[in-house]
Amino acid sequence: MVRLWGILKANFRLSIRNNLSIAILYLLIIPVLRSIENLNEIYSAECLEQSVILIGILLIVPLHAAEHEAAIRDVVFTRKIPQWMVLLIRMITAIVMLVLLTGIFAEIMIVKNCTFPYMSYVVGTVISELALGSVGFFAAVLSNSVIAGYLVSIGYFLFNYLGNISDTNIFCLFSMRTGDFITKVWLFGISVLMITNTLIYVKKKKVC
Amino acid sequence: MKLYLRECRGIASSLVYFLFIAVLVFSWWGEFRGVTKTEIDRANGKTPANVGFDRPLLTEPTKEDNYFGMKTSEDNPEDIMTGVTRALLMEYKNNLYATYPLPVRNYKAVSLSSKEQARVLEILCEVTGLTEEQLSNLPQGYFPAVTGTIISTDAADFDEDGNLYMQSREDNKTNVIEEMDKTKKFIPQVTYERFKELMREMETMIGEEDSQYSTEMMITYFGLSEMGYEEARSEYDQTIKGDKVTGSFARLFCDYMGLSLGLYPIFIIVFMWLKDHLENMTELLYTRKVSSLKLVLTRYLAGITMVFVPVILLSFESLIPLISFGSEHDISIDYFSYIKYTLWWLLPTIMIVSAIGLFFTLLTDSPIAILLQFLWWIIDKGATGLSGDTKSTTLMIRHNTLRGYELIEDNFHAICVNRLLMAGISILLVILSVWVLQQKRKGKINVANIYGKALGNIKSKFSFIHTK
Repeated sequence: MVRLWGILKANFRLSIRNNLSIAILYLLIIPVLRSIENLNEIYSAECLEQSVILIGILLIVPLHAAEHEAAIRDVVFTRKIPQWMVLLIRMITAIVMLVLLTGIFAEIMIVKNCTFPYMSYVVGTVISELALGSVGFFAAVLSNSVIAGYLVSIGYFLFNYLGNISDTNIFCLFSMRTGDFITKVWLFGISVLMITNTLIYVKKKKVC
Repeated sequence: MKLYLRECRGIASSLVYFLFIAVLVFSWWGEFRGVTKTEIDRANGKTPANVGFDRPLLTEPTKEDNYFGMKTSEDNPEDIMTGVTRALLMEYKNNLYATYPLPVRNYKAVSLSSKEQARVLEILCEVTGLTEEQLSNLPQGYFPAVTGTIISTDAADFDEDGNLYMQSREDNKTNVIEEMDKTKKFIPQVTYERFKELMREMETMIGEEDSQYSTEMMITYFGLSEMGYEEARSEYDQTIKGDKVTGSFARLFCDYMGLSLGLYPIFIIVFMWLKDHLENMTELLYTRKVSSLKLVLTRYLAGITMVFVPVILLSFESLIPLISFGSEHDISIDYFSYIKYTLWWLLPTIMIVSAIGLFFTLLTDSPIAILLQFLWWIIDKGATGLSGDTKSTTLMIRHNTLRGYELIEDNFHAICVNRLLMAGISILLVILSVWVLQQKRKGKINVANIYGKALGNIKSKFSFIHTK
């Protein structure tokens, strides 16, 4: 138990803390960029899905970044704790942080007189964050470059933002504004698949 | 030259470049691909000409035509007053007034105090000539089916292929029974000038930018009117003689590509510089004979070239059918429109995005440039209107239409200032990057040490994990 706590603490400092600070800073900027007051269900969904979900990129994509340096990679893949397990621990921590941050932000919106079903909107937003982050995480691990991960995630977000992915597509990140939660089930499935594949890839990867 | 070609090859063989090409092509595919073919098909009669609001761009209008397309203007103030009053009444009832303030022009709902609401009611009564009670019990059909860009399904119809087309307003007008009773049909009780004065008061009360009551927004939302033959003729002449056909398409192409090029090139530049760092090649690079100026400039130019090449290639999808259209119809075509437009419209965008990536990556040895550029992109996208809204700091020039050359003409000075400014800042950032690299090579700037002091040394944390 003490060992697990040590691993958690060390990985939090290594892969989460700085990104969490950036995510919090970003969430604080959102009210400057757009209104989070008096929004109805549609506009609340827009705010959560178009602005808040970006913390998924900030927290999930760089989870493997620390090991991208060649020298560090050689050390990491030879240690006792398997790297895939370390990544899983980081992923779980990141998801907990996503739920916390999204929940708090949505609560602030409710206080600011926005009207929307709190629980389903928070879950829907977290799933979109997870989908957005996990595709980038997958690309980052596979290419061994966090830049490739950011490119894939931001590209995916912009395809949605610019309307290249329609509201009825299973890859749509902004389906909540149309009252559609079925897409979120698909997105959740895609995220789980991405994360599982990434971890399997890391597990099978040999030290170069 | 050898170094330049080697850098180009290095970029071309990287995964990030393939991903860049993929997102660029996907964006182009979803937005611009097929636009040229559709217009050519409409001109050749393969696709119904009366689809949507616009008339076919490449078809010569004749006086016998019964539809010449739509435009936004103040030609029909009564229509504008009708649409705005309907919107005002709806917002008054909910006490939620939609605004789209800067910086990103996202929706913001404003609620007014009871005193202000009372004043809104007075305005509504003055405009409609009705009492509060009459306003809360308006008869069916008080407002028409079409008000500006808000169209009821009664006004739209579908042809046999399932394509949407608009009924001509003249057709509609013949079916409208003239009603002169202000309680049954909206008849403005004030002049257009007085109406605009009242709406300015509304804007002041709401206190935010870009509500539906600003003159600009009123015209955009509700100032939709039909064009006449002369206007359609002059639009056609501009397309064929002024733009030599390709100009209109090149502008729309640049508009869409600009959205991608306002962000994605940064990934290539950041990747190029961080790769050395991640592969522990930095020290090796610093001790090479090549000067900092040559190294920075070569990589910068290689990045720009590799971004520019696929853009030019994608433009052929539109240029080639237009060349063939020109030869079929004996119309003179400007073969170099795409090159000209992409050079002065898109190149400064690529330059500034690449320069930001270069400078901040060299300065921080981190991908922070991506975050900064993404924020600029989001703000710029929100703050810039779809057409004719270029300011000196605009990153991506927008012109989201095949028409509206006059918007470019009116804005030409602002566009030139903007593009020169972007190119100038890019050059300045490149010079600063050279200086930063020189200082790093001399050991005067050591980012790892700065991070080490500020955030604690990451590598020491690693040793902590492994010793546990």
